[in-house]
Amino acid sequence: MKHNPIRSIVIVGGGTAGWMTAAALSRMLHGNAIAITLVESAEIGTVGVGEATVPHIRFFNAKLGFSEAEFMAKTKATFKLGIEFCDWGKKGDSYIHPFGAFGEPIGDVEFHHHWARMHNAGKAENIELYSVPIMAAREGRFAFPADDPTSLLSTYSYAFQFDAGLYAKFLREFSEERGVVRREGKIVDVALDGESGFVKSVRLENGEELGADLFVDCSGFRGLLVEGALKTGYENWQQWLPCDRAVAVPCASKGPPSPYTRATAKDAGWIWRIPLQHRVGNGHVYCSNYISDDAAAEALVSQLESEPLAKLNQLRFVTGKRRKQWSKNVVAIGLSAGFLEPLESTSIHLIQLAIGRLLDLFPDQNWDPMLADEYNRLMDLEYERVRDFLILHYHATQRDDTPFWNYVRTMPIPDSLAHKMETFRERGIVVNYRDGMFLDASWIAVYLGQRILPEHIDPRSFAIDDETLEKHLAKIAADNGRAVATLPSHTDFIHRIGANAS
Amino acid sequence: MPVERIVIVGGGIAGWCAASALARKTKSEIVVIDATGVDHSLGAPSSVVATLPAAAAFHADVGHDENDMLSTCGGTFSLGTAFSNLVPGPATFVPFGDVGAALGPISFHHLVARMRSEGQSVNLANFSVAALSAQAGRFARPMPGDRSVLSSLEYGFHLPSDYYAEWLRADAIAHGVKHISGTVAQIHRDASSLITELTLNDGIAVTGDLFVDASGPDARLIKSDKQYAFESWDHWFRIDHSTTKLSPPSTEPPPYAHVDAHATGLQRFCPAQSGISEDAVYLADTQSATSHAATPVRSGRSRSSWLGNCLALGGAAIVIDPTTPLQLALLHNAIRRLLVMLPNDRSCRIEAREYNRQFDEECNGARDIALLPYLRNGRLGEPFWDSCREADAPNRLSYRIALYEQAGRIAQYDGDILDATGWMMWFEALGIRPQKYDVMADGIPLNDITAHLDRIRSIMLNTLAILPSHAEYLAKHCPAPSGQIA
Repeated sequence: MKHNPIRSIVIVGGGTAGWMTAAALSRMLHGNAIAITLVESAEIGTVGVGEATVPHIRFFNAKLGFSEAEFMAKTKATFKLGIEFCDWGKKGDSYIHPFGAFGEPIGDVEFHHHWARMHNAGKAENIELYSVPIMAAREGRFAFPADDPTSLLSTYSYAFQFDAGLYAKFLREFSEERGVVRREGKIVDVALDGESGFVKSVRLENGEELGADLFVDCSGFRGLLVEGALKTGYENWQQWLPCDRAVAVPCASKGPPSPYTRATAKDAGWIWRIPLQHRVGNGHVYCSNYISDDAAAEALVSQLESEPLAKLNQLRFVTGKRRKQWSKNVVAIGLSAGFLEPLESTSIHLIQLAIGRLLDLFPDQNWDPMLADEYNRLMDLEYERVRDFLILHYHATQRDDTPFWNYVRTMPIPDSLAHKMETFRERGIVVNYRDGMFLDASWIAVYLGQRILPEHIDPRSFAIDDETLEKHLAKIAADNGRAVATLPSHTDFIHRIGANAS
Repeated sequence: MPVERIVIVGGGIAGWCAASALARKTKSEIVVIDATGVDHSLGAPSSVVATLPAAAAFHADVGHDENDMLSTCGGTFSLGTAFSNLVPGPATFVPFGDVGAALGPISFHHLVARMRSEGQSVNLANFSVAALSAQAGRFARPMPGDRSVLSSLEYGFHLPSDYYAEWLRADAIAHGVKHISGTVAQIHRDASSLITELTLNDGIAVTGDLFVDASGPDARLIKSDKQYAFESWDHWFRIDHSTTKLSPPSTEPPPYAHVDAHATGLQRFCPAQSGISEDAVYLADTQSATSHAATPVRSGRSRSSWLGNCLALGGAAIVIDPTTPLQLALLHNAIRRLLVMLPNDRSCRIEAREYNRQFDEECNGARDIALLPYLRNGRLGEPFWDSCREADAPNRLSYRIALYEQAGRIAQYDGDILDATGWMMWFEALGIRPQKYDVMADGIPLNDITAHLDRIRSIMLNTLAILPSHAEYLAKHCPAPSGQIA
């Protein structure tokens, strides 16, 4: 069958999702004679989700050919080695979910089995000492991972913390250079084809009609096309992820930026802290059933390290996922596709993934339904797996100090997650899947951090006697310590590579 | 308390392979109970078993020496399988390893589909080092750190079954495995249905903590559990018998197997240094006479292969077409999983649940692979093959086929044994071709694609020219003992 190629694409909505999509499509579809238009309205604020990222963002930037230092300078970015979680498993707890594994397998047995065994015998240090990225994060140090795979300094990866507004601006310049046309204006109407039900065009306030073959809905929570026009439906996950509001505000930095993000559990939600070069992003994600907007704002503001730099930004959302992220000729990317709170900095990654899948499964105007089916199958899996990982943070807790924590601690959870937790708790086995965003090391970090310690471990560990193992562990911790001490400070490194904003 | 004593019922390849791996990798005491006779441990027997490339990593991880294995067993290397008479047209080849190379962001198979849409004929196998080597009868293992196109070569093995079992047995015994000759007469269970003790036919009692059922399709141990259920695949796999015999070897054993379709089933020729195995699977009631040497085959799987403290592997867990290389792939994966999930107490509750979840995923994938040639055969008007085509495909397989045919994309699932390239070549061999390809391939000038393909091919042919013949390579690295020839 001959192709009937897509000739025009309209992206509805700017912001991170819209401009990431525009940049990637303009770059990757180059040579295919496809006109790309992005409509955004200055009146509608962008949410600026997830100023923190996961390491995959580097592949996205590399594919677009960005220089890392230039990108960092323009987005006032800092490096990120992981996320610190405070007060989650229990009040007073703190752990870091790092971008890197703990230790290395000994014999054929994964490190965490040996560690759990020695920990139970009181002969192991805190798990953090066996992770280079955690130790570096705690000490505020950073350098690029070593190329030499035998070096301890090759055992981590990194991401960025950046100003999403500046990132969108950066991507906008990039996209416009590659022919993306930007239209300013609010969309007031969506016209559907009477027969197919496909979106035919969108009308702007000034009366201008924008038609396209393919529409990408990056309009945020509202899902202007995917929900507003196509009524695709939404799968609600609030029974597991009950937080439904957020309030955000930046403040001035006090001291050098840490190379990690912080998520501190509160009475009815949690507060993020994302240090950038020029300021610190803060926000309180909470559940309105358990706390008022005023109290939530007060809880946020009262713990800021310095004066707020802007007005409070209030957001409402419903955790869940669009039933079909690709419906007819509309692909929803970003918050229009679903909302998962930014606890593990997944928002930008899910955008990136959606763009990649769209390119892999790029349609033509025969609109083979198999392409959308496969896209939806893969994205559904991805969202469900991130969902389970997020629920773990709430559910695996000993906190019983507020009604909110009592709810999440005792709520029924998806079977898939219950199986994972029990298998780790009872036997130290990490149940994982093909193509999941979070690798074994991430699950281990959060299980241990949230006080799920394996009661039993791999019996093959006992091929090594206690004394030998204790020495081995001590050596890893000491070697890690020495390796980390050779790293420059995070701030120095940013300057050294010319990534500081002028 | 961790399991201290593991009792394996049934020797053969399945039992001895598990025994060897467990003895090398755990501190448990291992006992194997077996009786002499034909080795049914993998399901339907074949004189030479074929593996997928994963077998090399399995043996290396367990600590086995590959050259010693090939030499002692008189095995050969395998680069894939040739198929003939399944679909109209010339024989096709399903190679191991990579095929072609992407051009920018466009996958190789989309480039090929584009060329074909322009009326050009392209044989995918011409862009596989494994297929080209197989065709030329050449072979060499890639060297570590090799950056040439040879590094994309992956290889499996052909291993004469009896010698392979014997080699595994010797290795297991050398690593302290205890061997008891006998058959199981009685299985004793405690109040929670866990096996406590086996009584053998000569009255000897054998106790253990974990029992491995390697008794083949009889599933001697696991079948005695009240929870046992067999999921029959008879409605998909119409074959019901198999035969195998060993013929004298050729002087130059080809580094691949050959599967030929006939009126009521498949026949496979699987060469090794010591002889060529001729294995057939067929539907007996359409055959004029059933050979007395035939083995009944009932395709299917145990719904759960780990019940209580009894783990079934090999043919006791899944009976799958012996003309595929899947039997050993599934066995090796089962042993790998057992090593990672070695139970901490006799109830095995946690380990068994996760093991069965993975087994389930893996079985679905294996079934889909084995089923494809039956379901999508091209032998119209022959009752056996017509009935195979008429079977309703499992949902997941239908989806895989439809996605590939309609959209040129390959769906992958948890537990898949084949990667995307593997599926693509499997589809290709059966004439399943995408009607569409990535529209972005249209953005590349046709001449650029042609030049890209020519370049890949010429690099491959140049690399190939310096490889030794398969026979030379075997003679140099792993020659069979002279007394072994059939």
